[in-house]
Amino acid sequence: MDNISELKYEQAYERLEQIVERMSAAAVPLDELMKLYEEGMELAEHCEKLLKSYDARLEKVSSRALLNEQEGAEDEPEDDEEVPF
Amino acid sequence: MAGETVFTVARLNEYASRVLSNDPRLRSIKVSGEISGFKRHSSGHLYFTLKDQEAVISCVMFRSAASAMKIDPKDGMQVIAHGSVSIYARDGKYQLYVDGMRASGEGELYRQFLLLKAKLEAEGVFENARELPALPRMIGVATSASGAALHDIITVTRRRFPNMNILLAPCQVQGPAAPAEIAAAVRALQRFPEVDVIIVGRGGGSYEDLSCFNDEAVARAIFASRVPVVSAVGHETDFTIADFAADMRAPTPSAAAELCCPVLADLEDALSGARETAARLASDALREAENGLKRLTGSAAMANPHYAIGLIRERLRAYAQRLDSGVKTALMASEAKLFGRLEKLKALGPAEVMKRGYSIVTDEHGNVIKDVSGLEPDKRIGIQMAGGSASAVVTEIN
Repeated sequence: MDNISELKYEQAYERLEQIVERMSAAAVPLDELMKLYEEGMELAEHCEKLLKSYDARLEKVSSRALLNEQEGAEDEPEDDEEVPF
Repeated sequence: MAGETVFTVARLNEYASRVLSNDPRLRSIKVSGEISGFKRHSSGHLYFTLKDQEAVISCVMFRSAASAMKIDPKDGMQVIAHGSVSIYARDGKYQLYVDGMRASGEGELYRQFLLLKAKLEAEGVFENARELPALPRMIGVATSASGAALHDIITVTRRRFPNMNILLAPCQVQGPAAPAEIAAAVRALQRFPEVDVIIVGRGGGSYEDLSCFNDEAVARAIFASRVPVVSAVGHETDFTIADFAADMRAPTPSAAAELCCPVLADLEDALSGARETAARLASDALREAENGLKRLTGSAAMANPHYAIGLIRERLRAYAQRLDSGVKTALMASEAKLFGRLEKLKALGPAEVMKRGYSIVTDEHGNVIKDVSGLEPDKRIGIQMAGGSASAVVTEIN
């Protein structure tokens, strides 16, 4: 099982949907059903956490970084490339 | 030959003229070519020919149309002429009656557009059609920092998902420097790992304004993108090369923002829907297990009722701890029922059980013998049953 906390939203939500579908199947033993439920809740919590992780950032790529791109610079950009509006 | 129809020249020309005039295509047609033999008659009418590499056609443009025209036609000028085709009956001369004319710079642009389009298409540059992420961590935007496009994208995004993060790579979106800047902006945005989708575009404009999106470098930068790109070159009808190279085309920047940014409330609804369904399924399953237990308690009196029910109760309790509060309520109710049943069994006591025909075997000291291993041959035992007790000697153990 992948680490849930590292899943992207679409991955986590897709798995949650699969779990709900599996839980709907008639012949799932109670033990497995509870495990699925538990995993489902973890996924849902992770999704919720992701939804709350946004902080309305409006940032701008620095003009130096853009110039580098224009000149076809291959070197890795520095960390402070993003600047607030 | 009898019945043979003989035309006069005038009638032939008139007839041919009518045939041409009746053809709908020839009544309104655009012709591109180069002006030559240009003459402005004193009457104000214009006479010239249009030619390309293979052929020429005579043209007339009457004074009224000529005075309304915006360009100043000259020999050698590439134009697109609009008009109808007919025959000047007196001279038997087939010609184009021009009622409007414009320089065919646009036509040339369009030809280049088609060439570039065909070339990139053959190379597979238009094959990207990736699915957009359901929830991008950050939306990258390549457009002008001062344009309406950015404003629209921010407005739509904020409305749908108030805290969505946006990264702008500012670039000119018209003029000669624009193509290189747009391509650089698209490339720069991909360097940020959080950017999961890119919008590239501008608000509406004339065909010339949008021409920077008909650029090879722009198309290649879009095609090479690590993440899906949505083009939003504000033009409902004309597709640009950038539109073809993008994973998805939006008619306007606002529409692009709608494609890229989910509605927060929708995601929350879907999530709580899945939660509720899972909780309902879990509690249904628990209720079923509880019903199973009910059947078990029917026969449990035979063994040790406390023990059997206690075990299952323990298991259900362990599940309950793992369930969230919604299900817990349902579970508490079922546990309370279980507990009630247990109390009932207790209240029944051994005497009640014995009434149904069961007996309890003890040793000489009155300790309950639970199974056959507690018996020895010739040993004296006590038997308690409904209505009294007896003592006995073990004669045989099977």
